[in-house]
Formats: sequence, structure tokens, C-alpha cells
Amino acid sequence: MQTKISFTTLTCLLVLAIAIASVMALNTGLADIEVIKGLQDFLNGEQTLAANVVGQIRLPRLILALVIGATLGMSGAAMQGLLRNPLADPGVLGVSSGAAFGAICTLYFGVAASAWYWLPGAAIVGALFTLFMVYVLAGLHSSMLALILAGTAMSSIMVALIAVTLNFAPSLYAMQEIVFWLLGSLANRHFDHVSIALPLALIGWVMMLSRSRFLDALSLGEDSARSLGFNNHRERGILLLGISIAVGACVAVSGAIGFIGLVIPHLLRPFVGYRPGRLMLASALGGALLLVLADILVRQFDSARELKIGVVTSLIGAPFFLLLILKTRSRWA
Amino acid sequence: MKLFAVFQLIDFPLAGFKSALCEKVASKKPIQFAMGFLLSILSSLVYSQTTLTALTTPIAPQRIASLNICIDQLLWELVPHERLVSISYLTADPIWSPIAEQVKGMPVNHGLAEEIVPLKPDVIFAGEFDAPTAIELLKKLNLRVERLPLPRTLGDINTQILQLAELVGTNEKAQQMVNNIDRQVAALQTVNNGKTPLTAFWYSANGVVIGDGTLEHELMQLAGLRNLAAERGMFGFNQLDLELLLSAKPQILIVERGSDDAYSLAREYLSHPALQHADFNVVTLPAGLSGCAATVISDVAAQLKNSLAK
Repeated sequence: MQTKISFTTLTCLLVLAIAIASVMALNTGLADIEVIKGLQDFLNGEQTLAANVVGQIRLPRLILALVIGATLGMSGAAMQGLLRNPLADPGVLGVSSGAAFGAICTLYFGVAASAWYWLPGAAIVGALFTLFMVYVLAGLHSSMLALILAGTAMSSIMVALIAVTLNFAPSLYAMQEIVFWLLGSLANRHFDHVSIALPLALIGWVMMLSRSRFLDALSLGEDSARSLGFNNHRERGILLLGISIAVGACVAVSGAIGFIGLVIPHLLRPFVGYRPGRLMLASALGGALLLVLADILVRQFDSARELKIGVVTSLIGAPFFLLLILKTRSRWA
Repeated sequence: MKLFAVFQLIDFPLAGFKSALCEKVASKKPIQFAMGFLLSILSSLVYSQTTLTALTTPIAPQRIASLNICIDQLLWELVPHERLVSISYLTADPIWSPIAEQVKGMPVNHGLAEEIVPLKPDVIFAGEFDAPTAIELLKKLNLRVERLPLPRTLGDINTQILQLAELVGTNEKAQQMVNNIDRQVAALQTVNNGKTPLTAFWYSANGVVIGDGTLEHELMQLAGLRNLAAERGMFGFNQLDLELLLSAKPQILIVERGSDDAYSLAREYLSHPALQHADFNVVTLPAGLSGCAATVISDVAAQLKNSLAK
């Protein structure tokens, strides 16, 4: 695909689209209120109905959609660059499930209540472990088949562990909540969740973006990257850690929302001149846009049995995944 | 007693026949020997069961087993504990049962016939929907099974308590329980006398509000509250969007304490900051009304009254 858009134009367009989508998201909801007045009241600390609905329900939900979408988009781009493999994505390779498993272990057994760092900490460890395993099992060969198999295996293990853990959790509701953890949702999330996800996601983003030059160099091959003066081990370690921190913090509050990290980098890659470094920033913006739009979509349906947002992203993402496999079939090892 | 004597008479010659059989046939005809042996066991089984029912029907059952957590809790209050030979394993589980600590060490069952039969209970209690296959099996083995319907209204609760007490022969205690419930309910009715009814939602885990046709609705009506869920045309238990809940501007929000401290996303609904920033009064009631209403109804009614009177 030949494109004439510059990187700056692309960024501006995405930011504009996100702004429009955000306004739409704030106006989406069942309560009949004036959004602008609600925002004013909320910022002035007045306790009106509009302030409560906009400030405590819609705003944190929007912020989380932006942060989580951006994280998933950026992590997908980073993983695809790092593994030099177009099928890499935190959801497909089980990294999100690993994070969800970590989060479940601390939440349902009361550990998370003892200190704030337990929940994101465990989710990050879960994500890091899964990512590391997949990387060790398949990443070194950069064979697509090996990567998908290793990812599928790790993903299945993590999903099974989630099911077992929820089965033994003391709460009566635990087993029903597996849907939330496997598909993800933003329903009824609030500012406590934002305060868990946002700071850690920011740290993860900085770590990933700071390695964009390494990813550019790596696209020429391991040896070229080394000869350009990069310490491959160290750079890789920082990237893996950055991905785990961002994905772990996000999954801990929203469950595993799939396929954003797969779809967005692919759509945007031609527009950034196939440079993995730039792709990360563009994918972050694209991911945020997609998740906000998906969240607006799920809120259009019957609110009582709200469609999980992961269902929407998977319905968009999974056919795309199939298309990708068909397109790349000739290159399979 | 007559029956007993008759069977003793029958059994004596049988015992004699059995021992003769052993000596004569054991070495030569093993099949015949086995048949005879089985026959003698069968006859003694029939004898023991007949005597059992013949002797115990008129007086209250002494060995009581129960397959239902709610009936367990009622029995625990109604009858001396040594008469309970088996209770549901759920009653011993602190997640489900408020009396788990007290029943420690009691023999429990998991709703299986093979756990109940060796205990030789005089009566087995089960709820309407409990372990249907196990109950059929127990009935086939000629054990007495009593099934009690689940209470759906305040009136049902008292009926259930009295019905159970009638069966175990502790009517006095049951009458005290029923009187206590009646007293608390009557007190609840006086709390909002003559004033304009306050609007309210009964909000429970998973964002569910409780509408018409429920015990909770009945209690709200008695307390002089307008149940906004019922006014929206909701029947039974329905999820309500948080934004709609806030938009309806209830004056009272009734929530139940968790039956445990365990984390769940379902209970996270109740700690949403938007609820704390809204301007209604939150009334917190003891848990368990949807579990075993009969044992908690008087506490719930009393606390509801106290909270509303403030």
C-alpha cells in the first residue's frame, strides 16, 4: 500500500479522532444529563447528579479505555518488533491471561486488600512469566509456527489456571466472573482502577518508547543491531519488562481484552514506513481510539446484560487474525 | 410389642436352621449354602425394619438427618443438638452458613444416600429441590423423608417453621420463634406511620435491584417504603444500570452485608464511588435473606426498623 501521509499528519489525525470519540463516549449513557454542566460541577467539587454520573462513572471509564487501548496497541507493536513476527500480540500469546491469573490470585484470596502494590505486582509478574516463557520457547527461532504453538500452549495453561483458581476462590460469585477475566470489560470501573493502571502503564510506555531505536535496528537482524552498538540482551530485557508492566497493570483492572495489539499495528504499519519504533506510538493512539469506539458500541445494547468489550474486539480481531494467517501462509516454516 | 414377639418366634427357628445348614452343607453345596445364608439375612433385615417403624411412629423422631442448609439452621435452634445425626456439609462451611463455627464436629453429608443410610435416621429432611435422586433412593429403602417447600413470602416463613416443629415435636420453641418474627414485623409497620413514603432501591451484588414478588419487596412495603424497582415494573431480581439507579434519585438505598469478606467483582458494585457521592441514605442489613430467610428475618426486620427510625 503506497501512502503519502507523513507521520506527523497521521498522529494529528489519530489525536483528533480520539478527541471526537472521547466526546461521544462522555455523551453515551442511560442517564439523561447535561455532560458539560456535569463536568463543570465535578471539577468544582459540587455533588450534583450530573457531576456524579459524568465524573464518577463516565470519566474514569473513558480514561481507562484510552489507557488500556493505548497499552495494548503499543505492546502489540513492541512484541511484533521484538519477535520480528506479525502474529505477536499480548492476547494471542497468553500474556494477558498470565496477567489475569496473577491478578486473580491476589484479588480473590484477600491479598490485594493488604497493600496497593499486590494486585498490579502479581499481574505484572504473571505477564512477565508468560512472555518470558513464550520468548524462550519460540522467540529465538522467529518461526511463526513455533511462536503460535508456544503462545497457544502458554495461553491454555494460564486459562486453565484461572479456572482452577476461581473454582477454589472463597467467594460464591467467583466462578461466574471468569467471563470478565477472559474477555475483559470496562463496566463499572472507577477512579480507584485508574489510579492502579495509569501510573504503571505510563512507566511501561516510557520503557517501550525509549527502545524504539533498538527495534528499528533489530528489523535488520540481530547481528546488525549488535554491530550498530546495541546490547541486545539488555535492550530486550527492558522491552520485555516494559510490555509486562503496562499489560499487567491494565489487565489487573479490566481483564484480558484481546486482539487490539494484533489488529492496530497491522493497519498502521504502512503509514509509518514500516518502522517498528514509530509504529509503537501510532499503535498506542490507534489502540486507544479502537477501544473507546468499542466501548461506545457495547453501551448501545441492553445495559442490564452488557456485552463484554472483549467480545467486540475479538469479533473484529479474530477474523483479521485468520486473514493474516492466510496472507502469510506461504512464509510458514 | 406383639409384632416384636412374633418376629422373635420366627427368628429363633431360623437361627437354628442356619447353624444346621452351616454344618451339613457348607463343604458339599456352596451355592445352596449361600442362598440359605442370604435368606436368613434378608429375613432378619425385614424383621428389624418392621420393628423400627412399628415402635417409633407415635413419638417424635429422635435421630434426625437433614440435606438442606436452611432446615439445618432451623433444626439447630429448634431441637437438642444430640438428636441431629447428619447435617448438610454446606452448613459447616463458613461461606454459606452463619452457624458454621457452632456446628464444628457435627457429622455432615453431601446429599448422598450412602452417607445417610448407615446412620439409620428416623426422619430425613430435605428442601423442595434438594438431591432428587438421593431422596428417591432413600424412599425406596423405606426411610422416612420429609420435603419442605421454600418460603416465598413472610407468611410462608412462619408456616415453614411451624411445619418443621410439628414434625420434630418442638412446637413451643417454634411458637417463640414465630412470635418473635411477628413482633419485629409489627414493629416495622409502625416505623413510617402516617408519613409520606420514602423512595428506595434494594441493591444487591452484581448491580441487581429487587422488584415485586419477593420477600425483600414485602419488607419494604411493610416499612412504608416505595420500592422504585417495583414501580419500574420489575419483578424478582433484575440488573439495573448504575446511571439509571442514580437518575431515579432514591432517598434510601438498602444494601446487604456480604456473607463473607471474600472479594468478588459482584460485590464491587456496592463499593462504587458514585454511590458514596450520591445523596441518599444507605441502610446496611445483615446478609442471608436470600439464603435462609427464616433464621435472619427477625434480625433484618429489626435493623431495617432501627435504620429507618433514625
